[in-house]
Amino acid sequence: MIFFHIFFDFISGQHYVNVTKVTLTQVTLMRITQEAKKENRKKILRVAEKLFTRKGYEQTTTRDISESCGMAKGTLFNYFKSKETLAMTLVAQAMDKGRKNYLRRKSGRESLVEELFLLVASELRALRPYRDYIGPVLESGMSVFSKKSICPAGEEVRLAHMETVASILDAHGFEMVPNSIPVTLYWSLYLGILAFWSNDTSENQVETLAMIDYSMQTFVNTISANLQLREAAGNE
Amino acid sequence: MNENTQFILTTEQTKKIPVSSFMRMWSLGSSQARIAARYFAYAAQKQFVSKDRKKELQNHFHLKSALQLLGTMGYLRGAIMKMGQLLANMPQLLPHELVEVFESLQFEAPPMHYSLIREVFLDELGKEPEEIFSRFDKRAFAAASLGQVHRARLRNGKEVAVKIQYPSIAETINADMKALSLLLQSMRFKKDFQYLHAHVQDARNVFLKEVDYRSEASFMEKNRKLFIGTQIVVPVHYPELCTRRILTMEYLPGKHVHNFLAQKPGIAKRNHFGELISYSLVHSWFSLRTVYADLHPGNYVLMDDGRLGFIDFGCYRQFDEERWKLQIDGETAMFQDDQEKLMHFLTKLAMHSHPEALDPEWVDLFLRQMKWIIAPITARGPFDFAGKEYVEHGAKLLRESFRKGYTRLDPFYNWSNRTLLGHRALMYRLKCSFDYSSLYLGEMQKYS
Repeated sequence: MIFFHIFFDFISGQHYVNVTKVTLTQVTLMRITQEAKKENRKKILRVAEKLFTRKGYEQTTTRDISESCGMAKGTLFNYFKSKETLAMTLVAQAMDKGRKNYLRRKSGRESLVEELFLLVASELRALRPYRDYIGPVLESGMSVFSKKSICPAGEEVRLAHMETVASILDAHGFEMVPNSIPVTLYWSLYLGILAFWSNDTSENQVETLAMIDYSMQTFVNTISANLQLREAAGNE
Repeated sequence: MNENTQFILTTEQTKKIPVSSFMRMWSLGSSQARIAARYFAYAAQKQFVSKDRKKELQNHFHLKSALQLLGTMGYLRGAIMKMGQLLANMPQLLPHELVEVFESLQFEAPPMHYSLIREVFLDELGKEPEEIFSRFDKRAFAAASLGQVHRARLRNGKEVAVKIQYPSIAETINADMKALSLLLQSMRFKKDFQYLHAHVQDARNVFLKEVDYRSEASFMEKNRKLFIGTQIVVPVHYPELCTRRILTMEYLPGKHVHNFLAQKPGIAKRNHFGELISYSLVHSWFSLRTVYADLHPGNYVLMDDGRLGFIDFGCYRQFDEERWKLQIDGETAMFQDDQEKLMHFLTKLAMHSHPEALDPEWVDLFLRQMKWIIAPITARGPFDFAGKEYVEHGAKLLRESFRKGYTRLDPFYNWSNRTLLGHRALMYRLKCSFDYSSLYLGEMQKYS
């Protein structure tokens, strides 16, 4: 039989599609291997999450994680290239959950500021369990300075978030041009919110709510002014 | 009546909604720094000019500062509004020109959008408004102290009003009060400067208490029980839906004072509500020994069936035993014109140890003010709160008080002064006339 299987190479971040001729026994074996791999990956994430919370992110080593998982350190690296990638994967999963919550919560009648606020607030709520160590994780995973060694999981988070922002903007009549100044401004504001939130000592991080509101207002004011300018130029 | 008089009498009624804004953090910093710099410039300049020129310079300087502050005020919301209230009620704190600017500002707060409200609900009650109520209006129908009010319906069909506080208001009150203390530092060459600090600290404590809606809910409940069986209705609150930042209470249908007056009601109706408002204050003053310090028209609902809804209990002060005794002795001395006891009262009020230390000018002004305040009580019979002579005399005394700027006073009395002035201003606005004397003395006799 012809069997298509798609797998994700965590090291290169590439998707491969293999087309091979295999027997039924081989298919069953492969399925078991795949499932075992999936389970291992889940286990590593679960153990890492526990250790990060208990020992702190900085104090936890990849050796601690692999030992707690009962696997060799080398095996761990087959799944996650580094501790940063591992933590960033946890963050990415939480953000994904947050975005799903945003989709569930939105009514479609929100103003642009309100909808962007809802997206970011929903993400942050899902990220709460990771707040204690999100600072160093984001610093290594989403650094604005490093271009060469971008963490694939960090880059995925950025792309997924910006894709949602683009669809929100689109629904409100704005086109998002990649690498444009407003996009850079948005991303800076967003990273600023994350940084502020990770250090927010107020109860339930209420100060961050004011920060999100103010940042989204700033962004929308900027792009609205751009639009008005363009419209004015068009009219002339 | 001239414009100035009109202005002063309505100052108590022009308070607008405060809502926080992130921007405030740094704009206040810059404005206070500029004012401080101007004070220093003035302090240096005045050493070299004549007396008349000094006065002129001072006025010019105050006005400039006031305008400059106004320039940055657009960004300032929330706690800064409280600062405005503080200054308006403590004329001794800042020059009159600055107080006028603060008072004239229209603090139109941008309402919280629904996404923000949902987050506050999730943090405070663990659920979204729709999960709690069978209906929740996404738009606020009124402004409240430090937040906004939404109408909603409980699952059991009861109509409620839900007050929601803007996030991080407590943090900004702290920050703004710190900034105010810094601003006052620049005025340290003023006489009795050390007392200013006490006023600011006291105001900070009262405002911070106001940010906890649970404290308001418990005071509301105390008042509700107090007024059962009268024509005053205090809403029932729902403790399971009340937190530090959310207060859910029974919705009372009716009109606010300005809507009531817009319908040009007759004198009987105006007197009726004037008397009820007065009763709400005097009764809680004597029976609970509290100063209801936030007397503004928005806190009352004038109901169609003639009852008065009393709906906001955020800002109050409680007399302790010692202060209460002093207050009652002082009032009795005033009514009986007992000079010796009056001097003892004033000595305590001005925080001196001997009556000889009292400033005679201050004593003279204070006694004239007190005489004005107690005029409706000593009148014995119906008193016309809108009487031209009474109103203009009050405005003149207020102006004199602004001008003299005494600071040496127990901060507690800032709140009772605020209440008394607020009450007289509201009665003036209702243009009502009734036997306040019997009401007041009757309550005083009953509870003292």
